[in-house]
Order: sequence, then C-alpha cells, then structure tokens
Amino acid sequence: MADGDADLVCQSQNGDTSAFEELVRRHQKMIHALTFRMTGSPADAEDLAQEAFIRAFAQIRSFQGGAKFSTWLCSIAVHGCLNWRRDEMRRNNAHASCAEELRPETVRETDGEVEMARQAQVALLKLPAKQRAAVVLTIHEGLTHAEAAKILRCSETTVSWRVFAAKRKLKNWLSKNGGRP
Amino acid sequence: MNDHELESRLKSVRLPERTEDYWDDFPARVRVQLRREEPVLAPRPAAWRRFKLAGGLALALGVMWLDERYHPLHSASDMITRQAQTLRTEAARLQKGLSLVAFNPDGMAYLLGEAN
Repeated sequence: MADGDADLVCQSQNGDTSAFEELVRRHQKMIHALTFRMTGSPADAEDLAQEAFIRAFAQIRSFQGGAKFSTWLCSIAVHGCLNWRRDEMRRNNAHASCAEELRPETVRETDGEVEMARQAQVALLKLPAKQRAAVVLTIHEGLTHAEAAKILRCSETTVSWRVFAAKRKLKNWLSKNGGRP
Repeated sequence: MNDHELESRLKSVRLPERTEDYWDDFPARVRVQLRREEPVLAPRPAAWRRFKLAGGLALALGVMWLDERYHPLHSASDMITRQAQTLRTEAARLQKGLSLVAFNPDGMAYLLGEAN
C-alpha cells in the first residue's frame, strides 16, 4: 500500500468519509485515465470513475491490504467498465467524443500526431472489452501480467494471450488500414 | 510495426484535459454522492434480508403442513393403526379359546379362528 494510504484506508473502513475523500484525491487521475481508455468517452469516464469510488467505499471493509490499494481500486474500476453497456450507438458516440477531444484546434501537436493518436484510441476501442482491459492494465498502467490476471480474475496465461491477440490486431489495423479498423 | 512502436503509439493517446477546479471538486462530489446514497442503500439490504427470511420460513412451514396432511405414508400408517386397534378390540372381546389370528394378505381384514 502506498505511504499514507494504509491509515486513510483504515479510517475509511471506520466510516470516515473525509479520509476516503483524501484517497479519492490521490487516485482520481489514475482512475479517470483508466476509465477513459476503456470507454473513449470523457463523460462516461467521469461517471464510471465516480461510480468506482462509490463502490470502493461501499466495499472498503472487504479490503484486507493484501494488494496495493490502487490495484484494488483499479480492479473495481475495470470491472465497472467491463459491465458498462456498450451498444453500437453509445460506442459511436464515444468515438465521436474521442475525435472531438483530439481535434487539432484543441491540441498543440501537429495534425499528423493528432491523427495517429486518434487512430490509436479508435483501434483500442474496437478491441473486445477484455482484450482492451488487458492492454490498458499492462501497457498503460504498467502492471505485470500476473497483477493484471488478479484484477481480471483469470489466469496469467489468459492475460498473456489477450495481450498478444490485441497487439496483433492493433498492429494490423494501425499499420495496414491507416488506423481505421 | 514492432511492440515498442505500438506501445508508444497507444501511450500517445491524449487524455481529456480537465481543469484544476475539476480535480479539486471531484473528491467532494464523490463525498456528496456517498452521503446521498447512504440512506437509500443502507436499509435496503436489511429489509430485503428480512423479507427473504420471512418468505423462506413461510415456505418451510407450508411444506411441512402439506407433508403432514397429505403424505401417502402417513395415510397408510393411520389406516394400519386403526386396523390394529380394531383387531385388539375384537381380540379382547373373544375371551378364552382364541388360538389363531390370520391376516388376509390381500387386505387388512383378519380371520379369527377358535380352537374349539
């Protein structure tokens, strides 16, 4: 557990919402990043992040301290995202929001860099949710396959396979189809 | 494209920019939401648990009553008891001289024979 998290977790377990608020402050950016990468929608990412923290508080007494608090929090957020209903319309909206966020007028990079980043995000969203979760946890969050396996409640081999399959698809989409899967 | 290039490209995806005010307000919003949900969420599991317990108890009592009332073995057992009672009554009426009591295997009727 990160320095200071242990005390705050302990206080939160006793119902201290101020202590939990401090935990939210510490981990909010990480959780927002994760939920955005999983959904591609800033608005949904915000809702899912808030939902993850609320669920975390509700379940905080079940946190035994065996893992890092941030990893436990990640697990709650990822499962919230995996349960997120992604019908076609919502997915399209997410893509549109993503494109809007990355418009050249709103960012400083050159058009080419922006377009490449947009393509990467679109390709990531096109992956099956479980493969996307494996990519987000291992590549973006820097977790080992074993840690990701614990979060995703599957074997390490399954995570390795999902990452492998996802990378193969992403490479194919991003190199041959100009990033349009 | 190799793994390193792919990972760099994936990491190049920009996250939505949010203002400092947003990050300052977000924890408080979570806290407000926690307070708002607390009264709604807290009693619900207890009420639901009580409802399930009462329902389970009622179901168990119902099954026990039905079993007691209609179980075929109970009916047969009652009939045998009644027959045995009748037999004992009849046997008591025959005072001395009773030497044979034979059951008819096709039913619960009985034959009484007297030695004399």
